[in-house]
Amino acid sequence: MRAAVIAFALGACAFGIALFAAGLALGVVAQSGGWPSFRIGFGSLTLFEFTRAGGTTSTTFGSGMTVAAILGGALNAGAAACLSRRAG
Amino acid sequence: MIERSDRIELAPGVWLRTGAVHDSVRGIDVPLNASAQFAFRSGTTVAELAASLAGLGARDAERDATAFAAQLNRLLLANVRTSQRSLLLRRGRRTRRIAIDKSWPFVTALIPSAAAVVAVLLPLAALGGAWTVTAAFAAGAGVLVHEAAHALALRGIPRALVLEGLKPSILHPPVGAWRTFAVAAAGPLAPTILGLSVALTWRAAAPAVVPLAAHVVGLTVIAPDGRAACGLP
Repeated sequence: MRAAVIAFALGACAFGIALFAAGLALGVVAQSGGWPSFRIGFGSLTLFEFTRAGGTTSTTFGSGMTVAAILGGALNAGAAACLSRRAG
Repeated sequence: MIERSDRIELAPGVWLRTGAVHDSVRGIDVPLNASAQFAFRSGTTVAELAASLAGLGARDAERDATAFAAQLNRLLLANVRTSQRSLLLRRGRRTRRIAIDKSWPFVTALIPSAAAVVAVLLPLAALGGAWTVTAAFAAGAGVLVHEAAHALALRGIPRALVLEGLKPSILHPPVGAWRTFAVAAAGPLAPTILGLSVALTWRAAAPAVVPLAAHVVGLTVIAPDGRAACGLP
């Protein structure tokens, strides 16, 4: 149980930070590359949104980040449970 | 592959005791048989050890000496020193244990590992421009920061740097559950925090420091640090 809880917390942290860092970098690349506005998400959940309006750009992280982090945590906890069971 | 001219040196923090090899980092004693006790001295070559074993009546002294050196190296108790020239012609990964009581030997020992990461990424990174080249160097620096964080988290506990080929790890005695968690998490977290700090204070540099932030994947159970943090084998 303890391993699964730690794995959930670490997995959520890892997925959240990885997506956040990727979003930051993508925002900078999109800004310097002159990319048009775009959105990354699934359904109504937005992970990341880049907006170009006139001479300004903005990068927004949506609620999809939280959902993705929770899913990542759950995935990591599941993998930890499998490893723990296999180790006996 | 171990050869006759190779020198067997007890690793830092390891010494001979009556009837055993003592490892002060792990706090263990590894018993030696009577022939090894008599014939082995730190710094001896495989050929010299074989000659001593032959004097004691060993039938295949050279094979025994080579097997003994390989076993000590595998148990992280001895470093097998080879001349640089013959090292280039060898195949197979050699394990090397290095004392980390001073920062400079620690950094210099990790430079080949960091350089290997840069060398692998650089050809592809060069196609992307200045930022991706910087990212390749950041990935190399990440190796140093990662291992330094593990070593710092083990402050006050005996520890040694182990290089299995170019793969670094930190050897230490078993510690409590929370210390294990802190030590395991410190490695991936340090380069991640460094990368995020740089990206947030200097937004334009974000693409270059992504490899540092990518160390956060080490917190998941796909990586040894993530498994250790969860108390998994």
